[in-house]
Amino acid sequence: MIKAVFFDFYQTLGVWSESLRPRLQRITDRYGCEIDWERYATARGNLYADASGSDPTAYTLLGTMQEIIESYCEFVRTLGVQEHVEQVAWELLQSEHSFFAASAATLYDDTVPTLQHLRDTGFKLAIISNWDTPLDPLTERLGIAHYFDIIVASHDARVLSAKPDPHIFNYTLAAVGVSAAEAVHVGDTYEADILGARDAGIRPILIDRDNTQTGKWDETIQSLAELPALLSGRS
Amino acid sequence: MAEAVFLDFYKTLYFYRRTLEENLRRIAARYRVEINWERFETAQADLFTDTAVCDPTTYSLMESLMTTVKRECEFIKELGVQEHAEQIAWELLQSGHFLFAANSGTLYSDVVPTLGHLRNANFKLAIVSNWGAPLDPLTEQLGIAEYFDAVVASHDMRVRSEKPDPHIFNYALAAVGVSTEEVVHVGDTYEADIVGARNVEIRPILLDRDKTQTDRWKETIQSLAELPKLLKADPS
Repeated sequence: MIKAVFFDFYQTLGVWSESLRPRLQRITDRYGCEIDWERYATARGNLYADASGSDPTAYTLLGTMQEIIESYCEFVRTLGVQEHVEQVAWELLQSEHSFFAASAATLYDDTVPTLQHLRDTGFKLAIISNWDTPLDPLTERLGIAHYFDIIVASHDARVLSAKPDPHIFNYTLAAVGVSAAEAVHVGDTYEADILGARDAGIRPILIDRDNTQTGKWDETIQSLAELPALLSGRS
Repeated sequence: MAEAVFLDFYKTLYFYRRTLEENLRRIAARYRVEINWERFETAQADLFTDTAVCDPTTYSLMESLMTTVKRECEFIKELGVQEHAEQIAWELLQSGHFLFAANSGTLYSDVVPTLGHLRNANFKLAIVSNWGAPLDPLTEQLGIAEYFDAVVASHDMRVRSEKPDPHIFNYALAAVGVSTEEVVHVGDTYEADIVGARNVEIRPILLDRDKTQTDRWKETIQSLAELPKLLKADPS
């Protein structure tokens, strides 16, 4: 009997709504500076390589914040901005980075109706996400925090474990107060979400919004709206 | 003939919905940590003194950002929190600090209708604010950026001057492309807004939402909704 539904966050519940380039254009227009777009692809690659994938067990929030600030300043400088580098970098961070309270994330259309429906049906809900910071501030701004019994982020100092590591799943099970057999986990990344949940004894459901992972996993959905029927045994 | 309207930001257009105390209570509950509330008032006063925005001519945004986070950590520790102080401090800043564009604030209900009305009557509009960071990101998040010809913040490196200093007003005049006699400035702070605007010969209008400044200035309004009529922008 399923009592709880766990969700991945990024590309399962929400996604960034506008890409980096138009935002950068808008901000640098305000400063009247020219961007060297020929360098853009390389600089962007470096920026995101710097900013991703740190080990949660060797992580400090302030140290990472300083590193992020430096990478964004470097990014802006590489593109030819010479004046007000710090401030342009700060504006860019405000427009996209979860560290800086950016609310640039958008929920998919099926997110709120599905959460509401599952909640009304009596399911317990949680988020399990590989994310650099606690996710409570962002989910509060998006207006969905109240749907969840707990919101678990890998780099949260209380967690320090990233999917597919079993600890983050076990942490969530304990917090919600259900056993592995009573939970399902929904996510879009095969390695982290499907293998991770399966290894922790939780039934995994793959969400494949773009139909790019056909045949990868037997229990696959295209939209969160399919969940209520799937969990009630009707299909 | 008024052609442009300058507006102060904080407590003229925008205010905070929740206090630091309310935010801290909510976050501490999530971490199940005990807060020593007896120390709160003193610790809060010290925090506000230490993080008060400094001289705009020597200000560095990113430096201030890191200092603010570190100071917020000390504040949390003063209140008896030992575990996860860094992270709790960060969550607190996310919930209400301008350096994090936290949109925990709200526009007064008369703001959007008045801006729309003035815009339709062809007034040019600008924000002239004493604020510790550029205001474009926040006004974008609030959905009002499009109403303004210029958004001018004191601690923006392009400005570096705070009201009542004349430079910030002159900067806004140049950015909008109007002369002093074509402008009114609306704000709630007597020294910064009224004295500041008057010194550069801009017509000042005092906004006194709570009626706490009665008779302080001859041209006083209680709501922004009075502006169109005052400026004879009412199409009727």
